[in-house]
Amino acid sequence: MLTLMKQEYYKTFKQNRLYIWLGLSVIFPLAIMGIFKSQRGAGSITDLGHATFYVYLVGIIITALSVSQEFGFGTIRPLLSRRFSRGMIFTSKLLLNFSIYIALFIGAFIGTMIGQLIFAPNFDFSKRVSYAGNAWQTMGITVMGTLLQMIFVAALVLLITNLVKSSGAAIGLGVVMIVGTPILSTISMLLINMAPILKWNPFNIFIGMASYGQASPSVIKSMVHMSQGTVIIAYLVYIFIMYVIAYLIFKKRSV
Amino acid sequence: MALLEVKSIDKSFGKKKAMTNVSFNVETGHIVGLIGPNGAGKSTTMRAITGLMSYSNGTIVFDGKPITFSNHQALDKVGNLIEYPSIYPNLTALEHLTLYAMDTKDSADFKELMHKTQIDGDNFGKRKAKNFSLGMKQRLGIAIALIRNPKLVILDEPMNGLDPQSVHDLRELIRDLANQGVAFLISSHLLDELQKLVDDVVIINHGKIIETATMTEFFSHDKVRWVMDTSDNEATVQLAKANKWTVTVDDGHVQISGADNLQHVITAMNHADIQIKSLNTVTGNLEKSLLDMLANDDKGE
Ligand SMILES: Nc1ncnc2c1ncn2[C@@H]1O[C@H](COP(=O)(O)OP(=O)(O)OP(=O)(O)O)[C@@H](O)[C@H]1O
Ligand SMILES: [Mg+2]
Repeated sequence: MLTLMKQEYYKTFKQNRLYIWLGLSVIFPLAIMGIFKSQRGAGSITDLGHATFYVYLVGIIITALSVSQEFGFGTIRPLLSRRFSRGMIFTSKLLLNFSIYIALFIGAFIGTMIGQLIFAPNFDFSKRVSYAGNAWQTMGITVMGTLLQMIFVAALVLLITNLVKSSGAAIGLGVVMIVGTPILSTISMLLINMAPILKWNPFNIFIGMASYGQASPSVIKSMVHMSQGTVIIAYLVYIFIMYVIAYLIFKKRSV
Repeated sequence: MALLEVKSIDKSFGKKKAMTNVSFNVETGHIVGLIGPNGAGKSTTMRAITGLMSYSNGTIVFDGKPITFSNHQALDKVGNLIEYPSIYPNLTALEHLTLYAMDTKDSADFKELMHKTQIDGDNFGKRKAKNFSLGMKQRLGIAIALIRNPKLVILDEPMNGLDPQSVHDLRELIRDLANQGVAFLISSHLLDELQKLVDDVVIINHGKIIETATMTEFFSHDKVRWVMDTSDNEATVQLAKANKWTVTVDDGHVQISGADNLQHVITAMNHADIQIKSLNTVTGNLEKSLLDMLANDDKGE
C-alpha cells in the first residue's frame, strides 16, 4: 500500500497543474477580499473567502482526472497488471485525492488568513456569527460540510468516470450537483410529495447536508423532513454505498 | 513444470467467442511466438495472462502460482507491453523507470537497461514523454516491461514503429535475456523477424490454438525446395519423375524437392544435357507455412 501511495504521489508531484491549483487556492480568497469591499465580513471569511467553492470544483476535477487519465494514457494497464489488488489501487487513489482536498483547504485557509490581516485587520473571530457559533466554529462547520459534500460527489464522479472512462461527463455532473442545487431541490420536493418515504432520496439528503450551518436547524428540518443528526447518518450511509458501487465497477472492469 | 501454463481458457465478449479452449506453455528461457491473423485473439490472450481481463474457464499458472482476474500476486515477475506503450506525458524516460521500479526491491540496473533499449540518448534526457516519437515511446514501453527483472516478458507487437537498427538491437536484447533464462511470449505480424527470434510457435486462429510446436518441428513438414529455370523444363520434369523427386512447374519455374541434395540434381541434369539458367534454394518459411496452415484451418470451418 505504501508503495502504491508513493507512486501516486510521484506521478502527482510531477504535474505542474498541482502547483497551479494549490497556488490559486491561496490567491482566490485574497483576490475576493481584495477586489470586493463587501466580502471582508464574517460571511466571506468563514467561507474561506468563498474559496470553498473553488476547492470543491478543483477537488472534483482532480478526482475525475485521477482515474480517467489512466484510461486516457493507457497507463491503466501497467497500473493493474501488477501484483497489487484492485482494491488497493482504488484505495490509493482515494487517499491521494483526499490528501489533495485537504491541501487545497489549507491553501485557501492560508489565503483567507492573509486576506483578513490585510483587508479586515479588526475582524473579531470570537463573535457569534451564525447558528453554528463564532467565526472559528462557523468556519469549521463550513469546511467540514464542504469536505463531506466533496466526498459524496467524488464517489459519484468516480462511479461515472469508471463507467464512461471520460472525465467530461463526471466533472459536468459534479458541477451540476453544486450549481444546480435549486433544481435538485425541486426534483427532491416533487419526489417527497409523491410519497413521504422518498424523503430518503439522495438529493434530499445532499441538500440537507449542503444547508448545514447555513440555516437554523428548525428551518432545515421543515425543508428536508428530518433532523440534522438523521441527515448526517443518512449522508454517511449514502457515501458508503456509493463508494462500494464505484469500487465494484472498478473491480469488474476489463481493460 | 513449465514457467507459464495456460490451460483451457475460454473468453467471450457478449456473444462473440474471443478465446476457445486456449492452452499452451512457455518454458523458462524460451522465446515463444504467438502468431495469428488480426482479431485471432493474441492480445486477448495476453490480457488474460496479465490479469487485465476476466476469463470464464480454465487456469493460468505462472511459476507455480495461479493468475486470475482478481488475484495475481505472481505478476510481480511478469513484464508486459500490450498493444501500445503506456506513457505518462509529463514524465521523462528515467522518471518512468523510477516510477515502475518502486514496485520491487529487485529492479534492473537503470543505466544498463536504458542503454540496451536506447532510451539514454540526447533525444531522451530531460525531455518529457509527450514529445517522444512513436518509436521512442515504443522503446520506453519495452524498457518498462523489463524494469522489474521479470522471469516472463509479454510483448505484443514489440517491433511496432521501430527502425531497422532498433529492431535488430531489440532482437539481440531479447536473445541475451533469453540466454540468461528470461522467457518471452511475443506476438508479431513481422514473420521474418519472428522466424529469426523464436524457439517455439503457438498459432492461433479465430480464438483457437491450431498448432503448438518448436520452430524445428514446425518446419519439418516444409522441406527445402530448389526453384530453377532450365533450357528444357519438360525434360527436367521427366528426369525428376524418373528419380522419384517431387516436382511442379509454377509460373515457368521448375520446383524440385525430395532429392537427397542439390549435387544429385545437378549431376543428373548434366548427364541429361539440360542447362540450368538460374537456381534458387528455398528453405522453410514461416510466412508460407503459416498461410498454408491458416488456409487449411479456414477450409475446415
Ligand atoms: N473489449 C472488447 N470488446 C469486444 N470484443 C473484443 C474486445 N477486445 C477484443 N475483442 C474481440 O476479440 C477478438 C480478438 O481480439 P484481439 O485484440 O485479441 O486480436 P489480435 O489477435 O490481438 O489482433 P491484432 O493482430 O489485430 O492485434 C476480436 O474479434 C475482437 O473484436
Ligand atoms: Mg492485438
